[in-house]
Amino acid sequence: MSLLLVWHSAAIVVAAAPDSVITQAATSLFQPYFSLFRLQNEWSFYAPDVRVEPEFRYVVEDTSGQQHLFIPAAELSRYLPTDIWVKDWYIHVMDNPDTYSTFVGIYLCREHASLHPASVTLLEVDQKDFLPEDQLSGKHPFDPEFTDQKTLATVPCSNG
Amino acid sequence: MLERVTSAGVKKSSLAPWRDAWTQLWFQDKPTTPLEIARMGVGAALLFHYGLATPHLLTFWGDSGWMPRALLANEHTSAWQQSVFFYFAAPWQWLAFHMLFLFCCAAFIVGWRTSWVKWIVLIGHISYDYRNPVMTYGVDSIAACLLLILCFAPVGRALSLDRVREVRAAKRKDLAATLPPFTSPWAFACTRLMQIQMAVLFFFSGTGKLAGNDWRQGEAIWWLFTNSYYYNADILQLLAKQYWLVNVATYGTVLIELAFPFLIWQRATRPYLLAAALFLHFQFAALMHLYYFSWVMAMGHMSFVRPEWLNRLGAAWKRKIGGMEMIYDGTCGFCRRSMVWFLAFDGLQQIQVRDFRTNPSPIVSDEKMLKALYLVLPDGRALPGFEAYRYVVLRVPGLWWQIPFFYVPLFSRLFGHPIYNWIAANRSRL
Repeated sequence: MSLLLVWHSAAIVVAAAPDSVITQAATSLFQPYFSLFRLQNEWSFYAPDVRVEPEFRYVVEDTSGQQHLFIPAAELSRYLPTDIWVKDWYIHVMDNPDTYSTFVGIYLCREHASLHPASVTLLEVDQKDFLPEDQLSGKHPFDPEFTDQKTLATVPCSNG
Repeated sequence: MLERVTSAGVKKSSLAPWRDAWTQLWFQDKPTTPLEIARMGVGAALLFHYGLATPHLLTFWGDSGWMPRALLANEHTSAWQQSVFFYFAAPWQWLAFHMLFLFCCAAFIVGWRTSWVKWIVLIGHISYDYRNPVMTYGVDSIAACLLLILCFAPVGRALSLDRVREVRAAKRKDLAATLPPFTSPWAFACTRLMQIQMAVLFFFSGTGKLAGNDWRQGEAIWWLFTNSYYYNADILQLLAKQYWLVNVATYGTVLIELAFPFLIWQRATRPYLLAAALFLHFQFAALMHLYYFSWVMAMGHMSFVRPEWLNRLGAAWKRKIGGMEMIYDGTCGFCRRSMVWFLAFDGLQQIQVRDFRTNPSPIVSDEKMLKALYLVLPDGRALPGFEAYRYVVLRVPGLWWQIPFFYVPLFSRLFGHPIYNWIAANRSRL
């Protein structure tokens, strides 16, 4: 029993310890245990700095050339605990466009089949610094002057 | 020979203080109550969270959803990252497992067959996480860490249906029997593990923040609320007008996180640090809407609640309510079985019982007792039948789950009285 306590206590510390030669060696020993029970986490909540997260948007262009803008975050309810999963998934997609954009594009083509989509364009909206004086002068963090929009990918829809 | 014995004796006595310290650190004989609170809280959070995700089951975790298996290979780094969903092929299998998982979460909350449902809850939670790892965040890791410790621990021995079943078995033999609260050195060891988990989490969370300019310069909370996800116009306006609040909140967060792992262990400072940590999480819930995260963290902190505090709370409740005596008909098998069930939920042992056949009550006459069970209150009032039960369920914490049945305005009394009277009249046949 004492052995299990020592082992698990060490695992708790090693799992969160910053990267170093010692922790790398220890991590390799603990890795199967960490992976099996999902124990590895750096516990770096909003650290070292707070990330102002980008917002995911997409435009569905139908076969007649009309564009439909969708903002998934606008449909999330902060009172539902599952919405943070949805937000994190979109952030992961934006952080890894090479891996995910084609899949997400095709997925959204299927989701919006009723619009007869020709293509889906994935967008990332990044926020610029918004200072207290900006707030006091009546501006909004999502005003165009405080955001940068970039296109992640345009994915053609096969049924379009 | 003498020399060898002496040397062994010296060795033994020199190791004794270490052994005592080790026992003091890990193996004190304590109840499982703090862990049971964590069990119920974490179980409720998981049931609520995954229950709400049911309509999105196949979108979140299915093969045709957001994480097809081909992409999953990019996210996994170890063959040890396993999920039961890897072995499913048809949508009904996802649904069947999801239902089993939710059922086990519910069983975990109420402590029914806890010794094995806890493992299904752990396996289920890890399986969801590994089936779509990109969707998860800090709280999912915390929940996994707490669940594993709860799986190690002998939970389900208090505040649970398992305990009710145990007490009921003893009371079936002798209605006056009482079982001492369950205590064990291993329960304390697991409580200690959970405490270490929470202290380490706070330590690395605090030191991680020190490495960032946002936190060092006292501006992190401002940037947090300009984030589209946490944006709140009123809060941002208040912070912009009173920017010192941003500094106080930023430095206050770091201070609590850094002080917690050092000062939570001392008897004198623990209540303050515990209150500060809970206050921090209350703010995360209220201002950032991180309900699930805050709740699970608060449940982890329950490991720092001393069993003595809970005992004092229970004793204070018992004093406030006062003693109650239930008088029943000992010749009626149904009445006796009902009393056994009822008393099994009375964890604080607030109710005394009296069989009027062998021990007549000086307050309630035998004629009255032939018609209904009676509850005698400290002020001498005697409540019959349905009213007796109605009075008790509000005052015995173990029976609070029955409040919805006994306190629906109008309906409870409208249906409760005739149902009770019918049962009382026919009790010899039941």
